Amino acid sequence: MTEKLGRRQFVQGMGALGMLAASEALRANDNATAVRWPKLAGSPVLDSLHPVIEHARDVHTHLERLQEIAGWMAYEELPMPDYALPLGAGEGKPDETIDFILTSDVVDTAFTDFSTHEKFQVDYAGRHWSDSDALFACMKRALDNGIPVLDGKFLARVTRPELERIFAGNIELPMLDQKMEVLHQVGGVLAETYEGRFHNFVKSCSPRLYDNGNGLIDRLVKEFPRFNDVSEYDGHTIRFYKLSQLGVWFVYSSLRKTGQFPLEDLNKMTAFADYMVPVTLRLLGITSYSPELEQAINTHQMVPRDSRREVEIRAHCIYATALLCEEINNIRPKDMQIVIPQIDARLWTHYHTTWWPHHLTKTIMY
Amino acid sequence: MNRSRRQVLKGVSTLGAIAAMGAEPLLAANPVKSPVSSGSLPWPKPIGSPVIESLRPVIEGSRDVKTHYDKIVDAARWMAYEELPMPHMAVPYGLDKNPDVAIDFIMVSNTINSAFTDFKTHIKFQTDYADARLSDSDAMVACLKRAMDNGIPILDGKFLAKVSRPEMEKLFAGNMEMPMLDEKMAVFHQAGEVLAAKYDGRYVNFVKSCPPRLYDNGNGLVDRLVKEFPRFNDVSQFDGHQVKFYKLAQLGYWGMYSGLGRTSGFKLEDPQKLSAFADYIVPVALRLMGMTSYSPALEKAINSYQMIPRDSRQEIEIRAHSLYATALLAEEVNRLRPADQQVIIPQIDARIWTHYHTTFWPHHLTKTIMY
Repeated sequence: MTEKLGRRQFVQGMGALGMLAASEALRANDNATAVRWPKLAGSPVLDSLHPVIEHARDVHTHLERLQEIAGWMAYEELPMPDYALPLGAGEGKPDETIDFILTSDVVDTAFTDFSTHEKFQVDYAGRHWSDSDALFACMKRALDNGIPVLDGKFLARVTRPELERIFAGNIELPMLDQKMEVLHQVGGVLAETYEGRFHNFVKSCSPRLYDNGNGLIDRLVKEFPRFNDVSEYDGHTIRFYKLSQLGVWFVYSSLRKTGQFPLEDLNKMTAFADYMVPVTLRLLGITSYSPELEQAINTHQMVPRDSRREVEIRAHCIYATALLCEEINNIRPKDMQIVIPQIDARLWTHYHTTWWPHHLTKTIMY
Repeated sequence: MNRSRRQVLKGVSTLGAIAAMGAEPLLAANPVKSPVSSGSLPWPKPIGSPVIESLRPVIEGSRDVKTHYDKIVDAARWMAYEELPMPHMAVPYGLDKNPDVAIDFIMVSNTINSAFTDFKTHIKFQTDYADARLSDSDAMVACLKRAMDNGIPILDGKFLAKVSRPEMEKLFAGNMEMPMLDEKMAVFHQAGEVLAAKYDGRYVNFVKSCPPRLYDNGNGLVDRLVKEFPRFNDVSQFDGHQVKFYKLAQLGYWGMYSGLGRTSGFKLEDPQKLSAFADYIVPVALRLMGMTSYSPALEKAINSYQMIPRDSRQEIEIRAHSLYATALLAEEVNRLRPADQQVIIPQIDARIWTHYHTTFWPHHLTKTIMY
């Protein structure tokens, strides 16, 4: 941590030097160390990205374009979302809301069959549900049928036939075996330490994302390996923490108005490194890809988990959204400042149904 | 009507999702052809809109507003891949259960759908109805529904033709007097008389007497609305040319089409002839995104809240460029979208309006009943 902070300060110093002196020395160095870094500090996710942003080969972030877009996006409303669970799940019961969201979050990945490209879909309560929404509908359906899907003791031993019934839909839920495995793992921890329920875990944490190891994210990724969404890059550990941050963000935006889920360091939350936000950034021209990567994505080739390219795509997504948020806040008045997930929501909402291809990676991490 | 426009984002269609599942992606690798141009001025392909066709003298002779075609092409390159759903605009208060009543309600409220902010105090008109506090046009719509609940025949032209000022004050009781109340009473009188004399007092009878087309050799829905009801004849003179905007006329039919289209309560064969709705907000969005720019003098006038008089050169240029730029943008966006996902201009209008209608960036101020 100290080492990384020192490095960032060094980088900023170089930037200032470049502005004061003639910048030829920097310009000559193509692999410029003068990478601009968001001011936000204290997010272990953002802080871990330096090696990727400084050495990326296939993905680039374009600061001028980013500033141009901030120049108009700043004047949009960019609301703080209020998330409502489908079909009234957890309504008026904060503990149940926490259990429902975080338990679903454990398996909230991979809804498209990797061979047929068919999406997982379910009909329930007179409505049609697709992707992640279909997962939530399955969880609600199970609860309505008296299956204790929010109870770690049940999840720790759930069988494949039981899961097939819980997630009955148009196709088998993709990666069902891997999902069973993470449910066993998470259920075991919940049963053993938290009386089977995520809300007991949440109450045992400090009301912060990060707090010297006792924050919600600190402990989610430590106690539940399933959430430890990290990759190695040139010998450095790069943190993404997509599902842990997203789960906590969902809980926060569901309970925000009730005041039952205070979060003192919301500003340390980054974007959720998924498939869609990188597409948006690429289409807006905030990022660009090498011709090889562009072609790989556009021809639906798999980009392997933990590959250099996958790490670069995700790291630039978090880096660029952090900078975009900062530029936008520089323009907006004090009482209309935003946090990064509001930008994430803005970028995701418009493009999550786009037909422009996104990268394809087989993983349970997002 | 604005209430419905705000709900645009909620009307997410599943078309995009289905296309994303199956269709081959359109990679826009082909060089883009430039649009039909006259001299150096890009001009959108004709869509049969007398509004768009009337703009040429303004676009060619503008002094204070410019459209930047390169920025439009640039914006289309990302906007084309957004969903841009066809909005399901909700007819307020469930009135769509009876399409005839819905048409009457939409048209009566559209008749006075302008100016809800006091020009001196900058306070917005608000009212309480059904346990909610409503603002702007939502508040006006609530006032009309409240009157209906109280048995006041607000949809009847015979009533509107003779509504008195004290009655108007009672109808629109709120946090302050409704701005431009006298002007709103005058348009009620005028429209009410026409309705009473020719259409048995009902807008729905007028609508049913037209072919299901906006424009039809002078007999279409817009053609006749602006001719028979001068209140909707939203035109201005510019260098001796008549420039047509038809903001409220087009918006009213768009509201019916997207609110009632699925129930077959309202048929419209040529929605692709709609232009954008020349209001206060769409010009702001275009200006912020750099698709238009203003002269320093106009920029300063707007940013210091000076009034831009109705029918002034500046007002006409602002409105004309907002229709021109959105028409070009829709065309560029369609160039990049597959055949089954083509958009019409009001979808672009909705996309732009939704994002900026609450913006803190100043918009131009004009005292008018036309928008």
